[in-house]
Amino acid sequence: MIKGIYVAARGLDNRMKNLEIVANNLANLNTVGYKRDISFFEMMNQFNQPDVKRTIDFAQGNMTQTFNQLDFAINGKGFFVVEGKQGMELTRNGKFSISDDGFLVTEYGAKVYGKNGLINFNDSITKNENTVVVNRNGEVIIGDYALDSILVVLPDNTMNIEKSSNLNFNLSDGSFLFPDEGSFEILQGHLEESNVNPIQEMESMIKVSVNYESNNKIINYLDQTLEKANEIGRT
Amino acid sequence: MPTRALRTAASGMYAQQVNIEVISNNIANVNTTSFKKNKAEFKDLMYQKVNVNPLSNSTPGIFDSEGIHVQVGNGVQAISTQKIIRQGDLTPTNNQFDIAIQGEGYFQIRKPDGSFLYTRDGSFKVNSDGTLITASGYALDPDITLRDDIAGIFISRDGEVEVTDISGSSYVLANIQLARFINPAGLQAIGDNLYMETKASGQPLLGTPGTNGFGEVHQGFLESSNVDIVEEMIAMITAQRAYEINSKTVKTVEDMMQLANNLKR
Repeated sequence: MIKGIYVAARGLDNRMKNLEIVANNLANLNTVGYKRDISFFEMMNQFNQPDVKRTIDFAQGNMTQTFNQLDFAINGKGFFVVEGKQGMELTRNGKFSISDDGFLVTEYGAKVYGKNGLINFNDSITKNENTVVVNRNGEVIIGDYALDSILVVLPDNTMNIEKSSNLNFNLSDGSFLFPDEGSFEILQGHLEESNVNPIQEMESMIKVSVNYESNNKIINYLDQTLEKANEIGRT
Repeated sequence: MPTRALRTAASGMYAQQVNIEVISNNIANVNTTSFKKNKAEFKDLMYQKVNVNPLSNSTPGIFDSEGIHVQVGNGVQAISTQKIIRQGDLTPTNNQFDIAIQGEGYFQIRKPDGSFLYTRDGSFKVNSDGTLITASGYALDPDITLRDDIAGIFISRDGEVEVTDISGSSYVLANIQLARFINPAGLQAIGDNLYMETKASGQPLLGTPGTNGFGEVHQGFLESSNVDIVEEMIAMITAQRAYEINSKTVKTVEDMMQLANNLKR
């Protein structure tokens, strides 16, 4: 009987954590390149049991045109690779700029990888040409000179991806593939919007609070039953 | 207490408030010459690993189970605004000192201390020395100084300034130069339609209008603001609804906390 109370109380605890996840999705409704977290109770394992493995929804976000030649969005699967504090990190936020020493960097100063290493514009900018054209395969062309290609990778298992802040993702086991050409395209002058759908999140929020209330009721009933049990023997 | 969800929702509301501020600034500048609209930008805050209690756990008591965790984010932060560098419409003014840029590029403006600023606002005036200056009083660089005997001024699309004097003879006085940046969205707006070079914008590249990707200059025109009211209205509705939905999170958390408080009869 007492165990029942604990089970219900665990339910309360988990629902609250789920609400935190929903709250974070809603707060990031307008964050470029944000990928929504799926609340963990939505998951079922192979035995059709609720599982606590959390996943990230990597569905494509909408594209906004920004007309800025250093804004990029990936249409399709794959991630940009940047040099994070702990090695390579992945991101879908293609809002880049050029650092003091000529590297292509993200908003937070992380250098962006090309197929031949970090992309550096240093030599090219000093020439009398500063229009950067990036074609749909990611080839960076300055004037008529192909500098490098923006590196796009695809982790072989998206379940290994963890989020770090600044819209970057970590790979807990570092294996990734190179996606086939044609399975993605890089759009210059575009940014990918957050893929949070407010209606979906509202639905999750209702589900969480109703579940919370049911667990709450169960505890109340168990409490009442225990009270009855305590009265047995009283004459 | 489960205040993380509350703080997350509050961060979302605050970010949307910043968003509304940016949108209202755009709308206020709907008639500002050469104004480029801004867009607020956000980033997600750090993620924490939180242990969860799987329901299949048969141990009595509420324990944080080892190794089973989910990542929970801490909300959002407004970090910067981005200029949307999109061409504004050219409006005819029939004023010979009004010059608009169609395409990429900025006029280079010299401050009295010798440093440079950049602008697309080509509503030039002539000061007492005959030098072309912007509305804020800074000189166009390189200088274009008109002598007293100038009767007419004609500026071609490639920036050649041809003047006619009283006697009727005409000659080329100067050439207007434009400056381009690899990342014009990285320029810092300092007010008065002026921009400053930053690390993000890169070094300016000077050139002749109409060549090498530089825009053309049009005499007698001004570039209008690139703010589109309909677009801003849509953005405003979106921001307001996003604000509202974050407040719904606050309400839900509050209801849940109230239920928790009423657990004990």
